[in-house]
Amino acid sequence: MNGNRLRYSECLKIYEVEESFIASLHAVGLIRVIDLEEDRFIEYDDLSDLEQFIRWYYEMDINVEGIDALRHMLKRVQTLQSEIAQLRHELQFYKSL
Amino acid sequence: MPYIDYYKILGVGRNASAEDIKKAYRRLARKLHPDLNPNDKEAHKKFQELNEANEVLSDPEKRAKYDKYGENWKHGEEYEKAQQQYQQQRGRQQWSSGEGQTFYTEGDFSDDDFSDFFHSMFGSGFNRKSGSAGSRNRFKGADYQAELRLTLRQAMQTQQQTLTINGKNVRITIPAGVSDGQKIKLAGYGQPGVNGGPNGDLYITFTIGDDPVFKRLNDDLYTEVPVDLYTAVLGGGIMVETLTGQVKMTIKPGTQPNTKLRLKGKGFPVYKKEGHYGDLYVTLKVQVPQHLSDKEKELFTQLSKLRSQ
Repeated sequence: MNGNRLRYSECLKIYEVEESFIASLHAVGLIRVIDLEEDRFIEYDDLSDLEQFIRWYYEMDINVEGIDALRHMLKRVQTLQSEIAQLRHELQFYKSL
Repeated sequence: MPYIDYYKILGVGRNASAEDIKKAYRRLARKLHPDLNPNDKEAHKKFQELNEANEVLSDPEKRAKYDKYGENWKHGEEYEKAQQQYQQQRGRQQWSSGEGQTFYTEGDFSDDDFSDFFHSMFGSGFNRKSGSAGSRNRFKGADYQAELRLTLRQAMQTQQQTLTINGKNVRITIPAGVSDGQKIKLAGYGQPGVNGGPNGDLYITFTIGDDPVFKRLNDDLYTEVPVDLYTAVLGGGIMVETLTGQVKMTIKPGTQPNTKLRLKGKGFPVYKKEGHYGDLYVTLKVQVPQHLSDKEKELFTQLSKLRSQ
């Protein structure tokens, strides 16, 4: 560990995942890997996402390309959900006038 | 407490192999997992059932016990023992939360997410290594989701609130201008990390209650104010309530019913922009006098005649 970062090698050990899996996530831009003083780290802030991707990959059998597509779709869903919430709020407001 | 058919939940036959069960679980998990169904409580509930079915049927020991006792689970010799153990465990795991707060975790499962039927048969110690959701190693603590209800008037002021999370008081600052449905993240206030990992985060979603006087749309406020007929016709001044006190408003002669006036900067505080406020829109509701005296009727008739000449 290094401040708010987890050493790459520790990460592989803790989560019991293959290096190729993390490397694939990094390659498609799903997680950030930081090179610092001849060592590699993953930010603590990215661990929630990483744990989610591990669940999808190992428990749901979704490959990295699928994870990338899902991630993109989920972001779209979240944006649409907030738009719906905002529109509902406005509708409620105008109905109450 | 009804019997639960775990085979039916997974959509497999009673003679399904371990591989069939694994495949069925994965297929359904891809549909129902809360990670993939954000804010869908129905999917969350169904996934809990799926997770429980998998927890039992993917563990040869549990599956054998389930198959043996099946619908006669109540007569299982371990029932009483397991029930006692569960009650004790449950007592230790109670969460506490203050008034107006609701806490839950999403995408992570604990003992409390299993049915009473499960607890009755297997006690409280579900097996995290059996391959069901949440069984992979965790390092960062799970995130907590909380809902906090505020009144409109509370939301207009920056304030301190104390939340009780797992018996610990957490004091948080809520900036003025927070919106209905807005979510804020408090890093590190979630479940403690595992094996030295960082704590999870606490996400608070605000629900802002309706106010009897003001309605809010973004940073602007809307209110209705009664104006008597004579002030509307002849002009004058009225006192208007704002969130920060009363202000005097000038009414022009000949003001029509439902005229909307704007009081600049008298609306809601803009979130995290100190000194910035929305506007207050005042709709004037002209009050037509009722129960007129004879004299009033006479005078209104005279006025009417004057207008029609």
